[in-house]
Amino acid sequence: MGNKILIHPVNRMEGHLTIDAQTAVAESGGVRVTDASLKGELYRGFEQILMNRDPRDPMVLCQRI
Amino acid sequence: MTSIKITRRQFLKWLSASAAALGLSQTDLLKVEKALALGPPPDPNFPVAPLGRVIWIAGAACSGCPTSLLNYIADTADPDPVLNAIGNNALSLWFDVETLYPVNFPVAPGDIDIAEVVLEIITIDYSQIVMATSGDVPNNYLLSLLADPNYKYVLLVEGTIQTAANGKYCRILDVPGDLTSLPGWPAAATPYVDVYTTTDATNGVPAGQQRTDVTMAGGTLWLASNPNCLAVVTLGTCAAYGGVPAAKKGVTGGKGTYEWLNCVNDMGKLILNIPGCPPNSDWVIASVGAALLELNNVIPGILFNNLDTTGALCVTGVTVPRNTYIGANPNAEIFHKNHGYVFCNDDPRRDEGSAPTLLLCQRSASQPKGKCMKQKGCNGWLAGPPHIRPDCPTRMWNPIETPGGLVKNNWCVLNNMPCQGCASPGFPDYCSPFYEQTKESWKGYSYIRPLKAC
Repeated sequence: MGNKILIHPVNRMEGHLTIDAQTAVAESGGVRVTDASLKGELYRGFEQILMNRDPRDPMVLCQRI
Repeated sequence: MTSIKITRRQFLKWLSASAAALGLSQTDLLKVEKALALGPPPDPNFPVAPLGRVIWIAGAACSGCPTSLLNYIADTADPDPVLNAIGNNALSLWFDVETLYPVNFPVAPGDIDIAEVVLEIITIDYSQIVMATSGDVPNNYLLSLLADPNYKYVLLVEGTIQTAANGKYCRILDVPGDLTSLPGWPAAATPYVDVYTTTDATNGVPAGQQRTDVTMAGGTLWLASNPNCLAVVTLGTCAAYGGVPAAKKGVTGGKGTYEWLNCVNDMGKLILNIPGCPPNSDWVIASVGAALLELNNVIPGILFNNLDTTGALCVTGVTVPRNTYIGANPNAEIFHKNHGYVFCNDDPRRDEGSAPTLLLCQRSASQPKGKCMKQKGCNGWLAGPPHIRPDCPTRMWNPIETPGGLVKNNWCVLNNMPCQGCASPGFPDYCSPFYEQTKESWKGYSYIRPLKAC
């Protein structure tokens, strides 16, 4: 099995992010990333909060995204 | 940034810069200077350690609060920051949005900006948004700090704490090792972390090792339960009361810090609320400064004697204290201690029992009259507990460039935007829909949502 690179948290960005990368030794002898995924670790539910509200409310609420 | 020292002169300079905002009088300053002079021979590196070590964690946040904090400036030549802020404030710091790297404008002698505060007064040991590294490097550093019994810190919380689904709506860090086996681990936090065994070699460590995935709900319990956590400071309405991510119909179980730590988990922590969406940078620096002066015994009582602990009712009738810092000097209040302060001519206390006048609005000292926006949802007229009425009309926001320097010159109502009441505990639900007149009875609206567990 190869090595996994797990970076959580990722600094200097708004929100929460995880980097999850699988590496393997390449034929040339170097390290090669074979699979990688980014995960957003934050869900605030603005979609639900905005439902059935006054249509003018998102002007105020969505500033806070 | 772990061992930056400040000199005695710098310390006094910072104190005088913050004096007005902190509510220190000239006599207090003299006392400090005297105390320093009477003490042991002045150490050029006094105090040896930075005044405050801060661990900063963020939950469901929007980074508006740190952005507002970056605008901080205090003007030492200003004897009364509230009344003279409009004319005298100058901003010395701008930041490059792309890199978040501070760029200093020419600073007047004696002025102090956020860079100085961060570099010389407090040490931010862990903060996802400002630290220089990612992943296991800061995580291991955090663990090593917490393992030190002499490491005392202030926990700064930004953003709502989401507690539904075992907190999995917000995961803040993933650390090597099994945190739940650490001495002093709070059992209440166990459901809110995920201990797992790695199946691959991870970050150079062989497979089969345990790691812990920490959620915001578990992380706050973990970091606040440490006896070396002197106090918890909440940055913004979200962290203090729940705020927007905890609004009605939200599914993530958002809670404010006070509710989560002290009501739900009964931890009895000292919590200093700095509400506002976002809070004015002056409030943040003055509140944190008061906490540091208190906890380091420089001016005993500056914090504890000036906490607004008046109760605020929630929808179930439970009363909780607000623990919001109010400046000591009546002319330099962070939040107006005198709830009788009136900028709004429609304030119900002005003509109790009579019909609202709906005519005048004192938007600022220089522009005393304007059309009232109460019917458009302005909350400036809501006064007294549980509503927090910040000093926006006098302290002002939005520094702009003028021939005389950078000046804070505006706030919502002066800009013809109804006051949304963003520093009040019920925000945003108590005043929603925003562009309709706010109902006078706020009790139908939940104050901290949801409060069933309390």
